[in-house]
Amino acid sequence: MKYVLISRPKFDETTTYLYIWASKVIAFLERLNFRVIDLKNKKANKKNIENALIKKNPLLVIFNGHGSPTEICGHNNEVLINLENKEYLKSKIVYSISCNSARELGKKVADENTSFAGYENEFIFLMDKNKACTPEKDEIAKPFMECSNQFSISLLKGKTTGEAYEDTKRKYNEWICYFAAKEYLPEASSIISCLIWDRDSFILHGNKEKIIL
Amino acid sequence: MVSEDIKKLVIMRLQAMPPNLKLSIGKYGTFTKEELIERVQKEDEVGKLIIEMQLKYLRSFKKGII
Repeated sequence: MKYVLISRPKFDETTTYLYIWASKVIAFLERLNFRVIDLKNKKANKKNIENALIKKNPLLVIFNGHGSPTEICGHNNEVLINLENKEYLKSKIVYSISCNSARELGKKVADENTSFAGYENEFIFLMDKNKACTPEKDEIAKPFMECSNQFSISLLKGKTTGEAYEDTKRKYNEWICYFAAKEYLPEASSIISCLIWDRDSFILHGNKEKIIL
Repeated sequence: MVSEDIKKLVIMRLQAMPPNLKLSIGKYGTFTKEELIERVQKEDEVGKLIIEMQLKYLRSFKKGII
């Protein structure tokens, strides 16, 4: 049985958006018959994460939530992974959609048999405040969602971590070009500035040849 | 310390942002354009981040990336 572990707390506007975005990846995983360990809301806590990592040994671990250079957080910013328990992530593919966590933690987790993809700086995105209650219908946030989900989707299509990383960078560039060509839209330059920031902050450490299929 | 000219430039860009947009900046929360302008004026952590982001965008024009 191939397990994928997803952590998706939901306790503020930012985590609510990430939570909804992750549901698209979960739907994709279920279509491919992966067993998804979906640690959502309050279940996104340290005890559950460590139990799942030890007992189920997932191939892929996706974190959504807040973070810091040395931490990945869950529900109400409880620290899920830091420099003390980072060994639980060894030999896995880790995708951390949480600010700054690739900077120090990601570097230390990654090795020749472990891949860690994530963001070195703050992960920034724009939203339409009139759509905050229905993030799935937010067209302003859509480019960020697509770029954010691309790494997981590419892995699920059988690509290596290195290829999934390149696909993600390409997806950012596609959206940047799309809005550059539509500079008459009032939101275009704001969206481009955020996409450039996230694109340049996204990084892959460790093994670039790992696959999950 | 950020020069006043750069702050003015960043604030002008933020003023052009449509009023329905909000910016999510990780653990710092979400911000309207008025809140972002205030943070840039104060030059706090969020303000500095916004300045850095806008400068990165403007430099990408200079480099011909966009």
